[in-house]
Order: sequence, then C-alpha cells, then structure tokens
Amino acid sequence: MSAFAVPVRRKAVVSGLGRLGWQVMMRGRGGSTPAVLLHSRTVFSSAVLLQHQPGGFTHVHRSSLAKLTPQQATNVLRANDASFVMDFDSPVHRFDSNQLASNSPIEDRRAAGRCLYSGDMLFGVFDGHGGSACAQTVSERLLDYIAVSLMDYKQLCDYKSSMESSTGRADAVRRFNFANDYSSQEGSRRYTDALYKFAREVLAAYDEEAEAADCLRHAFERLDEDISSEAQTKLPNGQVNFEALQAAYAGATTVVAYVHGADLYIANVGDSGAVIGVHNEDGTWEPRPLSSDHNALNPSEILRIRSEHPRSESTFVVKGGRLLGYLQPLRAFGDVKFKWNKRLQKEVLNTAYNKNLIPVNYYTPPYLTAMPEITHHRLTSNDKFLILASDGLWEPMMKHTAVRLVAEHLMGNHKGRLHFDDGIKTLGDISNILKKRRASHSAEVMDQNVTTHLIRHALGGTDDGIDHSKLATMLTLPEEIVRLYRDDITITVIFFNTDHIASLE
Amino acid sequence: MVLNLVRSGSLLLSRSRVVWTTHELQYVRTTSGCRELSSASVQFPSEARVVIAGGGIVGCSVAYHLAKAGWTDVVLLEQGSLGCGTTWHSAGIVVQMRSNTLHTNICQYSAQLYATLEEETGLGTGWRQCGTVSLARTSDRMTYLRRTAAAARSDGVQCELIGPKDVAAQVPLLRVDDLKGALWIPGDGTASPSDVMQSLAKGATSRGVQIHQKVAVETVLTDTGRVAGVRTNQGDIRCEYFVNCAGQWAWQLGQLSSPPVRVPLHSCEHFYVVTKPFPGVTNNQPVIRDPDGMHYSREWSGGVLAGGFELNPKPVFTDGIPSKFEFQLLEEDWDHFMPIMEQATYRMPALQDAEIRQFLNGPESFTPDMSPVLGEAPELPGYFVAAGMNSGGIASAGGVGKVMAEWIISGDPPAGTWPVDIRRFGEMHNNRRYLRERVKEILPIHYLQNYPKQEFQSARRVLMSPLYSVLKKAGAVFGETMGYERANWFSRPDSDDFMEPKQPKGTFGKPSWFDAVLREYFVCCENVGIVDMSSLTKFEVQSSGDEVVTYLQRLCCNEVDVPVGTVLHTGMLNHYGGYENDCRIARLANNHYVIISPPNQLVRSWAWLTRHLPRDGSVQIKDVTRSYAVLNVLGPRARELMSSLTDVVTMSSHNFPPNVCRELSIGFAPRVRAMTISHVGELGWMLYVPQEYALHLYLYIMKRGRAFGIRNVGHYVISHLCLEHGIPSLGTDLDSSVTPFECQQEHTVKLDKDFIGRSALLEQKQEGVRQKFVMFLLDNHDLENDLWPWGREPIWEGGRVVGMTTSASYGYTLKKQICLGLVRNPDGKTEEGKVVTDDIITKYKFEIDIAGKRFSATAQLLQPVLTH
Repeated sequence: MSAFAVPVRRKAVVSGLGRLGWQVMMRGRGGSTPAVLLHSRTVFSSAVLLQHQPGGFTHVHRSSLAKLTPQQATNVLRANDASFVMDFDSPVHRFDSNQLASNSPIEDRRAAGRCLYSGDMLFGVFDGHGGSACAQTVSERLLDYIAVSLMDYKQLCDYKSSMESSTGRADAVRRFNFANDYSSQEGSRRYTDALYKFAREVLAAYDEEAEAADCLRHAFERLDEDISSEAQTKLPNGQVNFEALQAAYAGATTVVAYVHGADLYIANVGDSGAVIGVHNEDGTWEPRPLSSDHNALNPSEILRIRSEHPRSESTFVVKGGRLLGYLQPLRAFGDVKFKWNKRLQKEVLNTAYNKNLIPVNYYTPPYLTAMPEITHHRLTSNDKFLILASDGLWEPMMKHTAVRLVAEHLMGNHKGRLHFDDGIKTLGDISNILKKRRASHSAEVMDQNVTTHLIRHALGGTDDGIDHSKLATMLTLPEEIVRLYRDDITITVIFFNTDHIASLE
Repeated sequence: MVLNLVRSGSLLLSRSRVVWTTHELQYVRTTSGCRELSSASVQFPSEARVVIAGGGIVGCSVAYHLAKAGWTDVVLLEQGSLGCGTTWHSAGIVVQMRSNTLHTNICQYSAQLYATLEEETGLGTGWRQCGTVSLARTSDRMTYLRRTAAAARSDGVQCELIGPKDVAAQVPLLRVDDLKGALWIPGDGTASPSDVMQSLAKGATSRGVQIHQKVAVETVLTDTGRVAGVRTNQGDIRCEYFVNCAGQWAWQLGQLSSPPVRVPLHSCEHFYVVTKPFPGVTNNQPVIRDPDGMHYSREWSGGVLAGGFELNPKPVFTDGIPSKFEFQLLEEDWDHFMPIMEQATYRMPALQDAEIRQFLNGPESFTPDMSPVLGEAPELPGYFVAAGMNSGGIASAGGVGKVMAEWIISGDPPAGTWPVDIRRFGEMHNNRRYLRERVKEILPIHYLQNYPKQEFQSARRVLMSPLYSVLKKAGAVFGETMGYERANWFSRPDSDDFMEPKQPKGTFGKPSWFDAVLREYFVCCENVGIVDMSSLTKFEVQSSGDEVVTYLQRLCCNEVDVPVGTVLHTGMLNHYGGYENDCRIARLANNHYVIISPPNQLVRSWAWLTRHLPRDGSVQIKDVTRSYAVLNVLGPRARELMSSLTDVVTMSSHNFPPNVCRELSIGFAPRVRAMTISHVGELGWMLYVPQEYALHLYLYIMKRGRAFGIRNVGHYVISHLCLEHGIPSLGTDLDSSVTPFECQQEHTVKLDKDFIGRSALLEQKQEGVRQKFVMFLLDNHDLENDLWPWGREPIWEGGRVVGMTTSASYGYTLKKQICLGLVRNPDGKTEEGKVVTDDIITKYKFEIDIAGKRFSATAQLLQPVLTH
C-alpha cells in the first residue's frame, strides 16, 4: 500500500459512554476498505482497527488511562483559545474562538478578518481531511478572495492601484491572528499573484448588479479552481509542485460568515455548521441554523448529486453514506481526485504519486464541487450570537444545546458594566437584577472564553454538568485511538452588538 | 488672629520633642496677598530645603505643617494635578479611634484642624461634625466596642455606649432590632477631601510653599549617602529633605532612588455607591459603621454614600500603575459590590428605593499591617515617607502632616511613632507578591472581628528557622514577627507525630492555649525548656583598634569596656534618654562585639547603629541575623542538661557564672557560642550556632534532654515569664519615649561615662520621672468568666486616667492577671504632669478598666535587678 493510496474520510462516532467503560461504534465502515497510516487523521490505521475488532466495538477502561488534574485539563482546553473585542463600531461586539486537536497535527483551521475597504467582517472555519494542506491554503486565501469579490467598482480600483504601487502585497483583509496560526512561506507569492489576477478579472468583468451571494459563490469557486490549476502547474525547474498538489489532493469543508451591516451571509461547503442564538421576547433562547450539512444525511444533497450524473450511476454515486463510497462530505474544496477527469488524474496524480488513485466507478467527473450554499439572514436585535463550528463540535453536541450553553454563559458571565434600563434607578432594582444574575450564574462556568466552555461540555458534559473524569479521559486518549472518539474541534462564536444592529433596524 | 490648633493635654505627646507647638506664630487672615495655587507664573526652582513628591491631601498637609512651623522653603511636586490620584474619590470620613494612641491622636488632630482651617485659609473644608455610630450585631463586637470606649476615654476622645433605641433615635432610617448596642463618638465627622486639600494647599502656598503640577520625579539624587536633590522631568532641584507622599505611587517612587527605598504598600480596589437625595436623610446624620455588615455610610448632598470592606478584596496594580492615572476610576463591578450593598440596604431599608447617583471603584493603598508608613527611610537619610493610609487618608492626613513636620524638623521621630514607623518593615515586606497576598487580608480586617494576639494568616512562612519543620511536627503554633515564623506555643508538646494544629477562634477572655502554655510554663519553672529564638536580631561590630569600644560607649548607657567573654544588658538611648534599642552585648574579643536585639528591631537598630558609625570607616558592622540560629535552653535543670552535653567542669557555676559568653563544642557542632543569659529571668543558656548546625544541635539536646524532662516551649511562655518578672519588652512596652529610669533599669545606666542621652538622664535623675512602668496584679479577676486584659487598658486612679497598660498576661505562679503599664501623674495643666514617685505608686489605689469593668489592682515596682 503506497503512502497516498486511497485516503478515505471516515467517521468514528461515540455512541455511548457506559459506566464501566467506553463503548465505541464505528459507523459506516465499508467492508475491508484499506486504511492509510499517513492520513490517519481521516482514516484509522489498520493496526488500530485490528486492535479494536471485532464488530467495531471496543472497551477502553478508564483506569488504564492517564488522568489530568482539573487545572491540567483546563490548560489543555485553553491552549488555543482567543477572544477579540472590536474596538471600532461594528455589528460584531466581540468573538471568541478555540480549537482542540484530535489529529496530530490538527487538520482544522480558522480565520477571521475585517475587509479593509468595506469594513465588513468575515469569519471562517475550515475542516481539513486527508491532511491539513487544503484547509491551510483555504484558510489563508479564502477571506481575501471573498473580500475582492465583494468589492464595488471604486474599491476595486483603489485596491488595484494599491497592489500595483506597493512592492509587497496589498491586503484586502485585515486578519485577527490566532496564536497557532501559520502561513505558507512557499505559497505566499503564488497566492498573491493569483489573488491579483482574480482582482483584475473581477474589475474587468465588473457587474454592478451582482448580489453578495453571487460574489461569495464566485469567490469560492474561483479559489477552488486556482487550487486545482496550481496543482497542475509545474515548478520552473520542471518538477511537480508538491505543496500545491497536496493542497489540491487533500480536501476541506468550509463555513464562512460574512457580516455586512445587519446582513449576515453564511456560505457553507461541507458539514461544518453555523447557528444563530436568538433571544426571544419571552426570554427563551432558540437556535436558528443557517447552514445545512452537505453529507449523505441530507436528502436534497443526494438528489442534487444524482441529478448531476447519469441515472445509471445513481446506485453508487452516493454509497454507504459516502461520495462514490469514499468521501463523507458531499461538497469540499480540493479533493481533485473527485473533480479531475481521468486523463488529468493519470497525467498529474498518478505520475506524482506513482500509483493509480482514480476511484472505482469514476465515469462522469466532476463528482464534487466547492460551490457553497448561501444563506442570507437579516440580523435583528434579538440575534445575540452566531456559532461557527467544525463537525467536531456538532457530532457530540446538538445545536440547541450549544445555543443554550452559550446563552447561559452570556447571561451568567456577563461581567463588566451592567446596562441599566431607564426604569432601573434604585438600589433595590439593582439588587434584584444582581440577585437574578447571581442565580443564573451557573456554577460550572469555569471559562471566560465561551468556546472553551463549549469544548469542555462537548467532551465532559453530562446532564448534571461537567464530569471531570470523563473530560480527563477524553483529553488523555492515546494518540492512536483518539480519533475514534472525537474529531478536531474548532469553534468561533461571534457576539453581535445589539445596539449597533438596533440602530440599523 | 492667632491660630492655636493644639490644645494642650489632648494631642501628640509633646514631652520635650514637639518642635513647633511652642512656636507662637502670628498668622494674618489670608484673603489677599497669598499666592494662587497655580504656579504657572512661578519659575521652576533649582533649590529648596524640602521637596515633597505627591500633591494629594497628605503631601499638602506635610507642606502646610512645615510652612506653619517656619520651614517655608518647600516645593511640592505633583505629577498630574492636585488631588488627582486617590484624594478626589475618598469618602471623606474622619474617624478618630485607631488601634494605637499615636494614630488616634493623629486623627483627633485632623478633626480639629479641618474644623478650623477655613478661619485661617478662607477655603472651606466641608467639615461637618456629625459623629459616628459604630454598630454591634454580636456580643464579641460589643466587647470590642467596650474596649474601644475604654481606650477612647483615656485617649481623650469623647464617646458613649448606646443601646439600639438610642441608635434609632439618632438615625431613624436604621433597622436596629438585631443590634446589641453601639458606640457613639460625637467628635467624629465628615469632610470634603478635595476642599480640605485645597485649603491645606492654600495655607501652605500663602506661607511661601511652591506647588508645581505636571512635574514628575525621575530620581532622588544623593550625595555622600544622603538626599541631595531631586531630578524631575522639568529639571533638578537641590534639597536637603525629600518627602515621598506619593500614596499608591509611593512604592514605585521608592524604587526610583539609589539605594531604593522600601515603601511597602499595594493598591486594592475600593467600592462605594452614592445615592440621590431621599426622604429621611438629615443634614447632620451621623456616619454609620456597621462592621458586622462590612459597610459604612454617610450623608452626601441629601443622599447617602455607602461603601464597605469586603471579604474578598481585589488587589490591583501589582505590576505598576498605568501612566496618566489621573482622576480615573476602575471598572465597576456590581456583582462584587453586591454583598456590601445587600448589607447596607438591610441596615437602612430606605436605600432600597433610593436612586443611584454614582457607583465608584477607586484604588487605595494598603500596608502589611494596616498602619500608615511614616518616617525617615532607613536606607537613605533625608528621605522621608508618608504614605499607605489604608483607606483612612482623609482622617489621618492632618495629623500625619504635623507628625512629619516635627519629624523632619527635629530629625527625631516624635514619641509614640513606633507603630507607624517605616522602620518596622524589613525587605520581605516590600516584595510585590508578598504585598499582593497580604493586602487581601488587610482590607477586610478593617471591619472583621479582631481578637487579641491575632496573627496574620496570609503571606506567611517567609522566613523560617532551620527547625521550622521539626517544630511544626511537634505541634508548634506559629506566629510571625518581621516575617519570621516563631513558635508561640505547642499544641501537643510531647507527641512526636502530632500534626497540624488548628488555628483557634479568637476570644477576649481565657484563650484556648491557656492550658498548653501552662504546661510549658511549668516545664520552664521545674525542669528545662527549649525555645528556638533564631529570629533575634544579631549584629557584629569590630574594629582594628579600640574604635569599636569608643563607638559603643557613646551609644550604650551601660559600661561596655568589660572583660572579654562578658555579656551585658544595655539600652541605646536617644538624646531624650529614650530607648532606641534594648539589647544584650557580648564582648567576643577586645575589639569585637556582638549585639543581640529583639527581632522587630532589625531595621530600626541597624539604622541607629549605622547612623552613628564613625565616618572614617574604622568600625565595621555586619548583620549576621540570617547566619546564626539561636536556641534558648532555660529552666532550673538547664545547667545539669548543659553539663551532660559537654564537660561537667566547664559548666559549673564557678566556670560558667551568669552573663558570660564562651565557645563550646556540643555534639558534632563545634564553636557553639553559649551565653548564660536568659531574656526572661530564669536560668538559661542562649546557644548561637551557624544555621547549618542548628538542627543537629537541637536534636542532640532533645535526645540528651529527655532525661531532664526537656520540652519544646514557645514564645508565649517567654512573654509570660518576662511579665511575671516585670521585665518590659522593647517594642511592646518600651519605645523611644521611655527612659531606663522610667522602667527601673537604673542598674544599666552608668552616668559616669559619656553617652547619647546622658544629659537628659541626668536632668531626669534630678527632677524625677514623670512616667513610670508599674506592674499591676488584678484583684478579684475571675479567670474563667471575666474578660482578660491584653494591653491598652486604661489605668484609673481616683477618678482620672493615669496611663494605659502596655501588655498583660496571666501569672501562673501568682495565680493573678498581671499587667504592665506606664503610669503618669497628670496635673491637668502640663502635658508631662507631676513627678511620679515610688511613694505614689505604693500609696495610690489603681484600677484597670477592662472593656468597661474596673478591677482594683495592686501596684508593684518592677524588680530593679535580676538575679539568676
């Protein structure tokens, strides 16, 4: 088995956590599908599979695992957390973000930025598979593509002159940097050139009528095309550009939130998700999902794919819950193995990796697209926050649970200035408010950062709050099997500035 | 008009110390001709006698009092503008009763000053003598108030204990059904902090003081080891004296000089809320202090200002104060304030419906022991400090200014300043982490129930003897002095495996350690006990010739030119004959002495000794406190035990009489410096060894001592024994206002040689003493049911207060409560009063007032000479 043979995305689902041990069921395992060690972040190593046979069940006894102290667990959970407060007037008040790796290194990526020319906000969560190369390149480039794509004519002119005048690169987006971010040295020139080319073309074919949704689609598709074409371009010395090829060969699902005044657009490719927390007038909280998952659990996606291919292929185009029986998400960046025609694959992939990688039943490519599904939502002052998260969160946690947890955190942990309404004037009134605040102050709120709070609950949550021993066990699973129990988790929670949004209404 | 704020008989002990109260200065009412506060037109000075850094209320008060005493060549520098630091957000409550007489006098003086300052300067202070009502919800609090009331009468503060109904009559807004009683002090009041400050500033500038704002001190310049000037961002100013009145910036400012000056204080957030006017609040409503509910409240423009001292304070600015922190507040934290607010609305239900005007969170500075930091820095002569007001800046500022002015002008600390003297702190106190930990305990102490002999719980275990762990395992309950852990008593003296004694709850009556100390006491009286006294301050002085003898002769009132190997007991006196140090000196060689002082004298005595060193460097002094451990073996069988440790012949009373110092080899420890002295009047050996030998020596003595019934004993026993023998101890009883003649220590004074303080003593010998230490045995005191004396109880004689006790404890042999107290003979006219003769003491009938109950007391003169 060669190093790059048949990387397949697989899911492990924790089905139940018994008192005596952990029960793990691997769902949708397709017979004797070969597994690849190098891509162990999306598939199990065969060694591990064997170890946990038969029947896909295994028991891992808690006592056999190293435990952490609560502080150590907290340190692990908080290693990548970050919180940014907007110091400018914006519909976004602040946002929290955090990541917890399951794969080593982590395959998830995240990005956040502010469009330099329009002041609009962009947030993205990228879930890589088959390695992190694709997620990495998308996370580095997508926000710029979107910003350029959304520019109006004047902004484009300004941007063009700034990029032509400047010696280095002209940014379209000012990023909020996360501590564990990194950028590709090799790709930087290539990325910039491609972006400028894109900007010039957008300007040349400027369409005043274009809707934001169209611009977003355009940006997504164009980036995917660029990734694809860069993989085919050889280096000046005639060698294969392996970095570009790797980015195209791996894949990434993506969810991006674009905040333009009170207009919120969610562009989604794959099975990451976005949900808004709505605070109703009666005081209840309600989750409002703004994305649908592009996977086999979504009938409309299966219909879409079937309709794009001859009827004869309908039996295997989505098989065993996977695209052609291989890939779980039904839309993704990269994964050119499901996009290129056979000739191109033979020419580029098979030559580079010295192996035939063309999937079985590969007749009418492309089977996969990076075309995003766009949701538009007009924000109201009832919309308090938006959760963007990779499927690592959505597997163990329902959307309404996540919204409830963030809402509780928001209510109970609302430090700093209390906003008193006009009716609130006396010490007695304030006393009553404080009493309520104290009562709502959930005892288990240990993390200032709400995304850390969510991860803590995703891993260690029970009906009665956090079970530290469960949390500690989840955090100390051996590297070979951790992926069976949990995926990489990336969460960004965006808190809206209700006052600002109310002023836009 | 003549402004004489100082009424005799009520204020700071004058003795012969007070410098300017005798100045009869004529002050013209200042309406015209006084300089405006803004000094924009005044050229920046290049020279001044005194430079004050910090234009808050304290700095202005120091400037005012210096000018008033005739020192007008004073420049006050403020980095922002006047009062922009913490003065402007003070609550402005002036409470007079404090934990020591000097601080009480300081606040008394402030109240008088603020009441009359307007007459002089034309600027009002907002002073309102509305009085304070301190409420008691518990019986312990009531006891505390009774003790405070007793002390207040002796300190000259008018007060009255009142019942709940009287409280309701005073302030109808209050809920009183849960109260045990209250203390009403009519002389307290409130002032407007900024107005007081402006008024003081005007009083200063009208006399010629220059105030320069927007001037930041960059460093303090030194020349030949003393202050020579100040470098500011506007230029240098040459000066003789520098006064650090920088409040919460004082720590930082202290670090800017070379050598750095330690100003141990740390900022904490302090919260209060101000309401809009509401019905029922009267103009003259007393200040309410409800310590059991952690809060205080005062009238504020028809509304109420309510704040408090919470149990979980928030230290702030550990890593420095942000620049330009002028007229700034910290972030509101209603959740944090909630417990205080709940208590305030519980006490004053009308607050529920009161509208909020403002909620404030301002930082204030706190010190490691809740007393201000005043005086001349031991590190740098000419560098004075007045900071660390512990939320009492307005109440203290007036008196602090006066004390500082006296101190700077005379060069000597005024009487009674030991509890506020900067020299009570050592280097460990200045550590930021230490301070951060400690101030978290200090802020709540304002209103937490305090008990006698209470030890701080935070920032402990800083300095420990090598025996610490062993003693802890043996059941030692530790106390702290100068950051040093000392065993106070042993909860299970004979058990080797006993662990972790619990800190007992405090009480004003018979303490929980009574029986334990009783056992230790009898060990010392019948067998032999061992105490770890490693915390003692140890200095070595030497010279190549006999310069060291000349040096010590000048400092010590006793003869120091004694045979080598002799240990002597001597005081080191100031020019007024008062104790600067009370120490043992051992002559190790012709030109080599070791000086042993109490632990709390580490910084003070070092400052005193180095200040008088010959300039030519012929005498060298070395602090060996940290190098040596000290074990004290005491009791009737001590000599037997010592004999078993070494050569029997060596230890015979002939070879080893009292007051000698020999080097012995004990166990494997060579060169143990053994001195036959005991600090407590019992036969005993003090064994000085390098720290590394201490554990070996201790274990060896314990092993051999088992045959003699040796036991660990703690420092409580030592102080009991001291008291029973009538030996006053330095720092607790003695301070620099007491002379040897006043505490029956004539035998340590050799008037036939010259020493500092001799002329004062000669005068006193002729005239007689006007205060005297007396030992009192309480009659009819019920050990179990009566409250105990603990020190600071008034001594009554024939309807007048003649003094205060300084320390007290139970005499296990005499089976009576013993108090030591300083007795005067007031005549109602002069501050000093009449001469106190031995006759008076034996003739008069004394009573000791313990929390309002008076016990007749038998007075005894202290024993003049101790025999071993």
